[in-house]
Amino acid sequence: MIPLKQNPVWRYGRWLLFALAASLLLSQLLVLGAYSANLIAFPFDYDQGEGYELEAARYLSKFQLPYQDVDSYPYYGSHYPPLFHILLAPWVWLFGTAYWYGRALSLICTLLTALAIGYAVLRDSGHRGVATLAALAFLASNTVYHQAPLFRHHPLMVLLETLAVVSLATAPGNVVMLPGRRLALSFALVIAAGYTKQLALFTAMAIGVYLFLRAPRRAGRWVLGGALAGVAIFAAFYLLSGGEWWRQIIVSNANQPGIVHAWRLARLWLRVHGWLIAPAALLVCFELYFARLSLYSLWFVFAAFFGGISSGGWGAGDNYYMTAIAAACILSGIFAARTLEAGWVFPTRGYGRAISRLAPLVRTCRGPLTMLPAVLYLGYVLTVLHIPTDAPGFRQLAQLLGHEANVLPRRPFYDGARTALGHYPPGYSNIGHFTTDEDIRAGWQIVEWLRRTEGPVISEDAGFAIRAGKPVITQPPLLWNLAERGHFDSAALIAQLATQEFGAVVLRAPFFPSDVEAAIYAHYETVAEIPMNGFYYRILEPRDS
Amino acid sequence: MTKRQLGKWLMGMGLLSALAIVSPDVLIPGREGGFGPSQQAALFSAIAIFLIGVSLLPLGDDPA
Repeated sequence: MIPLKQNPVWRYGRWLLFALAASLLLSQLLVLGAYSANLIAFPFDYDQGEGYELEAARYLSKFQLPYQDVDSYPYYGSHYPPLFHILLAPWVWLFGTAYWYGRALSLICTLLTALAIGYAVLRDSGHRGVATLAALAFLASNTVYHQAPLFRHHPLMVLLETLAVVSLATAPGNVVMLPGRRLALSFALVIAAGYTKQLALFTAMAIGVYLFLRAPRRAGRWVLGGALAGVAIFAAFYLLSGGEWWRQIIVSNANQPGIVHAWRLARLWLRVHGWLIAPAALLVCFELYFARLSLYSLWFVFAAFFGGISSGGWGAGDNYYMTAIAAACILSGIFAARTLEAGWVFPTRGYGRAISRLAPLVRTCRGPLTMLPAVLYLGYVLTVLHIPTDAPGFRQLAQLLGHEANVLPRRPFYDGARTALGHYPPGYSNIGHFTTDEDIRAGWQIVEWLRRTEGPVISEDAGFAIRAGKPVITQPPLLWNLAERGHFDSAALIAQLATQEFGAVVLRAPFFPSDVEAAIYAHYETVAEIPMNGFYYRILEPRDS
Repeated sequence: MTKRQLGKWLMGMGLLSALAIVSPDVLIPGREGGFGPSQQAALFSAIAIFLIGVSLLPLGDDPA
């Protein structure tokens, strides 16, 4: 009798499905490459906030902290810890202020994260094919796709978190006997992740819990040491910034999580990534009841739970799930490899006794079960699919699958995470479409306007001011957050608006505190509206008094 | 740490969390806002953590 795994029907069926899934995942990699090239060449803000991160790098290139006193001119500060911007400071020296190197760094971080995911699956399972699919699955995620080539710190944080977890999880031997330098490496990476973005705290918690489960005494010493190192760095920044560090990094980010917002994003995350989340969750349950909890499982639970709650805050979004997606790719990859290789071993005691009664049924279904990993990856990539609908090859694929362009603003791009009408829940990044030559011309039109304007200007997208050679004034979302908590004194800014000291104001959203916004409209009037990248940028100039 | 110990930890955490979530409404009856959706979600999570802890108790000295 032919062993079920070798039965040609199941074997060829499995290979066909794997080949389809791999082809589609590779197509997503091509789309990511094209999107990244498009963005790297785009000279303005694409996603809100990129210009402020470039400005933070510029401050650091002049050996100044970006955590300035926001109550006085130029009212600029930074929400985020500085590691990403420190890495970019040398590039400012070499190439001046530009978006391409920050976007390239983010893309490289994303690709390295995918490699780390593949390595983690390979080390656990020895299955090269599944390890490759797990890495490609990360890059195919809509959330990862959006974030990968942005001038933003998030991909660097996720890379450092992933390296911290994988370096510890793949260490040989048990935690009790682990060399101190391996633990030190993991702690250094997660501290570095925390000083890239504060969300890395959840990964640090997962590592701490893992160490306590495996070696409580050793964990106590190392967690205390790691905490002291983190606090020492925190204290140094606090002192160097005259206290602004606390106001901008902690107070401004202490958002009340919106439960409705968080729930809608959680539902979207489950719908879009469910094909990976389900096997990941099953593996967590398996380890909880039949084996030992791995660091990957703890990381997934912490990242998904706490990242999901945090995603409900103002200004937060689906990128808060990026860490959980990395963990899900590792766990689902391990799940897939074990299913293919019949690597599930249940104990013969406890709940395992009940499961062992299902063994004859499982043996009967062995053939179809080996199809499951391929079905999971194929189902996943068809759900997350995002493609330009006007590019050769992709246009035909979209037609074959019955997909039409569904992004708003109207661009020839299909995003599987949106509804047919292009809708998406608040917090989902409305990006991923390609910019056009018309967008670039519109951007330079705004820049030329600002260059002709006398005096400083306020630009909600900092890139226009940077390109026009003007100082960057204000950081609207930061000011809004601080104002909501009663930690921003807008008197000086409103006084300057009242005396019309700014030659122009360029608005998009706007994100300013309400009293500042009222002062802008009281003393400035709209003189032009220029569409760019799907947004309408209003240029306001001083009203005639 | 064993499964049973982990189970007890989770039961303790779930119980303490549930008490912390409902205590404002117990100690201050009729307070503004009432028992809102955030508290409901948090209470549901606390109960789930408690129940997971209970389910680990039969696993005894197996390593967590």
